Amino acid sequence: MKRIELFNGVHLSIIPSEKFKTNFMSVNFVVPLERTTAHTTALVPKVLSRGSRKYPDMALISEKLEYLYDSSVYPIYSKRAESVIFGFGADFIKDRYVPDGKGLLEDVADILFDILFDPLTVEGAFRSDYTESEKADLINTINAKINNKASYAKEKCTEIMFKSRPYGLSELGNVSDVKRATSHDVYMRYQEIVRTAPIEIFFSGECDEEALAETVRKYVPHSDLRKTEFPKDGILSGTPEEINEFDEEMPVAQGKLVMGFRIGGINVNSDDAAAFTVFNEIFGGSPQSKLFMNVREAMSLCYYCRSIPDMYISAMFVTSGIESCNKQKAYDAILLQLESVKNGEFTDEDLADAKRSIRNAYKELDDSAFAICRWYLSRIIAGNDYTPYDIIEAIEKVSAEDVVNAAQKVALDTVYFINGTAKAEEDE
Amino acid sequence: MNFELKENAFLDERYYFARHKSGLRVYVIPKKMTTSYAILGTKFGSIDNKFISDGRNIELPDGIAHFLEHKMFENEDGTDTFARYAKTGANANAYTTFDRTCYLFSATENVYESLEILLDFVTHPYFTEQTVNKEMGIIGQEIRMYDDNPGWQLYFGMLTGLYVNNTVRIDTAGTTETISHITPKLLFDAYDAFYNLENMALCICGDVEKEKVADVCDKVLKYVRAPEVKRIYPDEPKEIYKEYVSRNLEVSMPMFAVGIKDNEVPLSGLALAKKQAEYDILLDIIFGRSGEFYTRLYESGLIDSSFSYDYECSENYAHCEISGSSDQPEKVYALVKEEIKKFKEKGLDRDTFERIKRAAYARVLRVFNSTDDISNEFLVYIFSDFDMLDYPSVVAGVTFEDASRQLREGFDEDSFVLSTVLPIEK
Repeated sequence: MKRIELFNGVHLSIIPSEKFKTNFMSVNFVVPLERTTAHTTALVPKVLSRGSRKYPDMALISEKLEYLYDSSVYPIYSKRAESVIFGFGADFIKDRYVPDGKGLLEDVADILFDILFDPLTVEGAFRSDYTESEKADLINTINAKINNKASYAKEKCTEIMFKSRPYGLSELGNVSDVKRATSHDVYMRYQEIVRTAPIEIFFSGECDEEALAETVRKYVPHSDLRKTEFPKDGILSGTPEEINEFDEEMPVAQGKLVMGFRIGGINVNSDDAAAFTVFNEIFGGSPQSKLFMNVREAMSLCYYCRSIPDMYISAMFVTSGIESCNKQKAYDAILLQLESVKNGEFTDEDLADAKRSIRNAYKELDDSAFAICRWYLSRIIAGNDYTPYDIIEAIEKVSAEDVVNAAQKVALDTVYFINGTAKAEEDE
Repeated sequence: MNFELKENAFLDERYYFARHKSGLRVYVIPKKMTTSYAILGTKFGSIDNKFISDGRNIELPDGIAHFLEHKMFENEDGTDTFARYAKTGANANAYTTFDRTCYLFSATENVYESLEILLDFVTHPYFTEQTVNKEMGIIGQEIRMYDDNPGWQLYFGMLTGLYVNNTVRIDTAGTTETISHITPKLLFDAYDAFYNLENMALCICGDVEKEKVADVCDKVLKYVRAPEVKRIYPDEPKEIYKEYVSRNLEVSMPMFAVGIKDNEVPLSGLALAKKQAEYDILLDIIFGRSGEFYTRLYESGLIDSSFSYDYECSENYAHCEISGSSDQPEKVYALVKEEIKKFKEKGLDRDTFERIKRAAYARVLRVFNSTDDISNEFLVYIFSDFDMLDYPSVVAGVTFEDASRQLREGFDEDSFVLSTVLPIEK
């Protein structure tokens, strides 16, 4: 990967890659996740997608993209620790596959950057009809979180566990804030972001690097106000004083158990990050893990039971779908498996298996343009430049003792449970 | 093994094919990627619940194909297949659809060792009373998970509305009741009939050598006489079963799926591929993001960005699905019908057709970005007697007249159903 500074706070990273049929490009902004701005930030890419000055409605944009051989330009929006990463991604087929031989980069870049930097405005605000319909759509999306009970439960657990911290916020904001937002508010938020937020642009594929840099320079606005540092992310550390437990009754067939753990401040930049990754694999990261082999296979309690670490914020969540009456059984079994890793109850073979499985997962990243670009973006924000292979190297050095030490730092903080009260409906 | 080479110069893709002496069809798709992906599939899925095997009538409980998939992972020596894969580092999985069951892995090293495990465990069934019972709880929870999944319930609601007898209306996993009737004997009945290598295919894609793949096949696979199997599918009338199907679940707002039954079945091979391409283009024209319908309904708040559509066709069933969320599902249903009627009356616009076709053509290319997508798609085409490398030329060959004819002949106004999932009234 090659990363060049185009100007103050604006970088272009190029990952040459011959193996894909398409080129991938993304423009990413990184802003702090805050209660006061989450909803307007979430509305920005949505309203921008509705139309620019040159392409004033979404049908026109889609039409143009179809004409450019199914090129796509789409919003990217996600939470990473206490920041929001958002922007637009684009992909388009490589020159040699275009039947008339004319490359698509210039045309797709024109749409992508036009949407981002030359929006449709009316008297210092976004169009109010576009803003209103995007507000309605965002409200639907926020409300629809309950439709997926597993992710809803995990988000509720996060919200409770991080109640006084930004990580406990939804990156989409909340419904009442969205309702209040005006087209002027959203435009002001947009202006603030494009002028001040650091911009990371990625390209994966084949291109003339000089020409690409020239194209990007042509579109991205220069701003003296642009920050060169990323927002500072807090790390969750310390041990919980008591375990928070919350039950919610819901008319659903299956109970959902989510257990949130602190991991003693271990994060992507700490020395024991690799040890924790191996711990997680052994504990609940694979079909060979303690959780899978015991809670699922030996006890037949569930279909899924896994641990999901977030090493940016320093936390781990165990999630499972169970018969509601089995909550305590599953709860105890999960903690028992955690204890067993803390006590070093795994073999050298288990350790080697876990490392192999992790190695495989890291090596696979390279085969997805989106995944590898996201990998490097995350490293850049974290302030390091590790490749997946650097991590693999660190993983290889992890000893059983390191795993036990990492496991010792894991402490239960919050338990959230959906108590299902509906009887299963049989098919007609 | 004598491999034959097939190439598509424009796509810059190729594969080698050979039938192994065991009967297995083997496709090696070389691709310079870090990840290799292998998939071994049998043409046996949830719709295949009745058949005659060597003269014996067999009827299987709903959900057995999926149950069998789970049980294949246990081996006679007491080892678990995942434990075997742990020695190679491969990431393994399996899935069951209406008409196929597939076992797969992705690996960045030890590819041939992983392939050996794949071929070995799928050709060595081992089921006992005890292991079958153990699985009831696990699959029971998988079924419960789907009971609470509104998208899944919406989809099956649509299928139960569309089809009267077709077994596609039965949930892939069955119900907790139907799977309770599964026994080791029934699993063996299903296995013996459908896991014969003649009924299976292997696709392996990545930085692999065909000779080494052949060596692994030679080492593991043995010829077993294939029983004579005749699948029995119920007759399906042209009519739909029920126009409105609805269910109440814990959701934020009503969800809808409009189903349109396509009675032009059974089809396979080129005819099936051609129809898929034609319908994909038609649905893009009528309901796509560049169309007038989507913009009008989105701007009026009748639909939101969850709106989507799809044409699903196989040898035994075919239908369109147009789905999303709306506070007024009946109104959207009426508008969908009206839009199709309007198109049928006024016909297609030539420029729009050409633009959408151009996009459809390019979309085929994207599949070749990952060894995972390539292998899975390849297998689907193999089981419907078609060659994936020929698909781009099928799309290119769709004419304005073809699409117009399909528009005229399909979308019969008596073949529409509306499935909804509504919030629980409090």
